Amino acid sequence: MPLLRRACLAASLVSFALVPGLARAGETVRVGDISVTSAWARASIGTARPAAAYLTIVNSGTEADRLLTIETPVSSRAEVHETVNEGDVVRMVPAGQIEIPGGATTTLAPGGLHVMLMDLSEPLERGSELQLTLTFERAGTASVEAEIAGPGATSPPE
Amino acid sequence: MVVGVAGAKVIWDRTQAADVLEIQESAIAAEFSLVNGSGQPVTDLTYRGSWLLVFFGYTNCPDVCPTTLNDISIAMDMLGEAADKVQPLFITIDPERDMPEAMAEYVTFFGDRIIGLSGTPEQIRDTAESFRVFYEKTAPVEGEVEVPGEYLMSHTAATYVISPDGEFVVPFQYGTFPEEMAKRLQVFL
Repeated sequence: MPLLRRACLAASLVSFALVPGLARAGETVRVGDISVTSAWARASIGTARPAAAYLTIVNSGTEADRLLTIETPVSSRAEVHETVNEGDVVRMVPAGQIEIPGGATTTLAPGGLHVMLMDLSEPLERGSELQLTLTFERAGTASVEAEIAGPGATSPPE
Repeated sequence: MVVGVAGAKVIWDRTQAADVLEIQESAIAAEFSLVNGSGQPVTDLTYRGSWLLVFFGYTNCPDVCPTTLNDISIAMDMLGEAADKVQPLFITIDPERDMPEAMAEYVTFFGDRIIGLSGTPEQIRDTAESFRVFYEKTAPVEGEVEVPGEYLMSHTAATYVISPDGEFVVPFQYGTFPEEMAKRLQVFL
């Protein structure tokens, strides 16, 4: 490989490594005491219906943090909601800016907390990725790539 | 008719919501008069001769309905040939938005075995009463801006097993794994 191209390749590899809080799908992103991992979403059914995304947040610090906002390029409104099951009657309620307790793992998974994505600008396609940018009150901002599974998936794609 | 009125009183008395869900076999008539994806009228009689798996939900449901319909679809696959004796039905409790064509399109995302049914608000209400199914629009949380046409709903999320004679047999609780559904159905098939 010519010297110039090798230098450019090396430079781009170094700069990618220096970008904070960005990772490829399936990887763990760390910011402050927070690790975000296993981000995935279900393929949307059209763009008029809300879609759902899930992830796992580990707070290895002793103090609680709070998830303030979630942003994504494909939705103008991403909020954390919770599925609440009372004797087989289910309701989905806004969860607000959820607390991320210290020394604990907060999991967003089907049947519980989930990121609800409204006003989709494009459909979520199975096999693609969805970028989610999470802003935590104390830790700061982290971006993850959520892998998109099928429309009825209950777990991340293999 | 008496059962219907009594059922209605119990369903709409929200403070007793927990009691409603102790489903009594005799109380679920499993009767309905609805419209299928092609806009044709269907009733419970249309499906006599098949075992039915009846699930109520709505297409704008981001979490519960896609996963349950998927679980039903997987359970059907697990039944193998015996699946031909079973007809899953997805009935909307959101007749305002879930038109028959929308239901028909939605169920295709969960395989080719589920039939989606809709109807007028009155038909949906009568069907829900017959199955002792609770449903309502979720009121906006304080401080939340209410966008017209954009609402979530609360609803009973059990899956009802109906015999080929149209009799209610057993409910599968929300969250029942496909393996469990298939195993229990196989006993009947």
